[in-house]
Amino acid sequence: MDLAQLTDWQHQFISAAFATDQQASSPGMAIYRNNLVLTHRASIMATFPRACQFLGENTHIAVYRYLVTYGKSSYDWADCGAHFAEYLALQPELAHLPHIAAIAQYEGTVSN
Amino acid sequence: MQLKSQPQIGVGLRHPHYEAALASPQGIDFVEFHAENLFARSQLQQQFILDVVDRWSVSLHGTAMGLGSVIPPDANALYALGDLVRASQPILVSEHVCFNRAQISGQLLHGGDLYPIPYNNASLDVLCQHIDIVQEHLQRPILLENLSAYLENIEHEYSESEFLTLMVQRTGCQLLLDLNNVLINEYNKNTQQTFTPLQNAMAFVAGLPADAIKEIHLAGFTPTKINGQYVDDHAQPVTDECWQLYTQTLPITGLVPTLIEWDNNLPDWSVLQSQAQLARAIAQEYQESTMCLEK
Repeated sequence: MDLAQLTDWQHQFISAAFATDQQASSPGMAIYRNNLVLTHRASIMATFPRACQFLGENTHIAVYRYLVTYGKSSYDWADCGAHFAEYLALQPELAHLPHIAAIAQYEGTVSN
Repeated sequence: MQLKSQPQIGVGLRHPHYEAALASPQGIDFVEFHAENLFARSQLQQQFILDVVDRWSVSLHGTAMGLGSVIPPDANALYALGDLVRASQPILVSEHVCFNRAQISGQLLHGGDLYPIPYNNASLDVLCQHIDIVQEHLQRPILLENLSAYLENIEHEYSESEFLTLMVQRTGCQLLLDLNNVLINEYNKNTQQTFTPLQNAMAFVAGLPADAIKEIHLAGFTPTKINGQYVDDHAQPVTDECWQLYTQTLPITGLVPTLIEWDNNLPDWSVLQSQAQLARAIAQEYQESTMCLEK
């Protein structure tokens, strides 16, 4: 394996870890995908506890869609909610929670 | 008689324990932080670092650099780590033998996890270049930790111990030997094994460059398989086999700083202190045995 092949291998691995298809490519990859989603959710819930309280049982799916939409590029898990308030504000199904984006904005500011 | 150094026993210090730990620091020689958790420079965090440094020595454990990634380490993260090292004056700075990011469709994606790398020359070149960058920036050697890995069928050109040995030789870095990771890799092997996981783990340890091992991690894991494998979740007390492996490893490494890792399903702070006490008892027993041999 040369550098180009290693680059491609890592590219494929990260693509698989962030993939949205239901079935992971292998049992091992399923563990990595699960870790990514659960750690991401835990991090969002730690930074935005009140906003997630309003989301209630929809927290998991909301956070998952947020991850799929924005990805994660920061080295620090605490930064992964940088666009969370903006994301919530754009969700039509959250129209019945008109203040949730503002709450998330506030929580994001306080945590920083 | 020459005075021997005392065992150095530490624990991972996580957010929920901050208050209890600062109030009850006894029985712990050093604490370990996940470095990225302190990259933000809030006044609260600066004060916290001062409070901690006042009580214990500190070990900085990076989980985000992913030095085996083909993409070089981010300059901002490197500077943040440098600032943190200056602020906390750690006795140890460590990272993992892993990668964690790639450029996908023009966007950098960082998995925030410890992904395995194939043990070959291309990986070795990339990893060693990035270790050199970090060591040059910090002006000190760092420790690299062996991984628990879950991906099957990676085509390696070297064994893990060969790869780690070459990495040490090329960079002058040191090793953080995570005994739980070694055991988990053995438990998760699908092929029929001649020896027990503990025996295989011990053989792995014996194949490492002993002089380079400057820290040991001890941990436990949830004894339930997920997708057919045990996961290194640091959610349980140190296992009996991990204690046994620690006991058998000390004659190879000598006394090195030893840390209890517990990251999920966190118990009371006092439980971590008890785990540290168990580690200290084993280290002291080893120390006394070496003194008997010298008499």
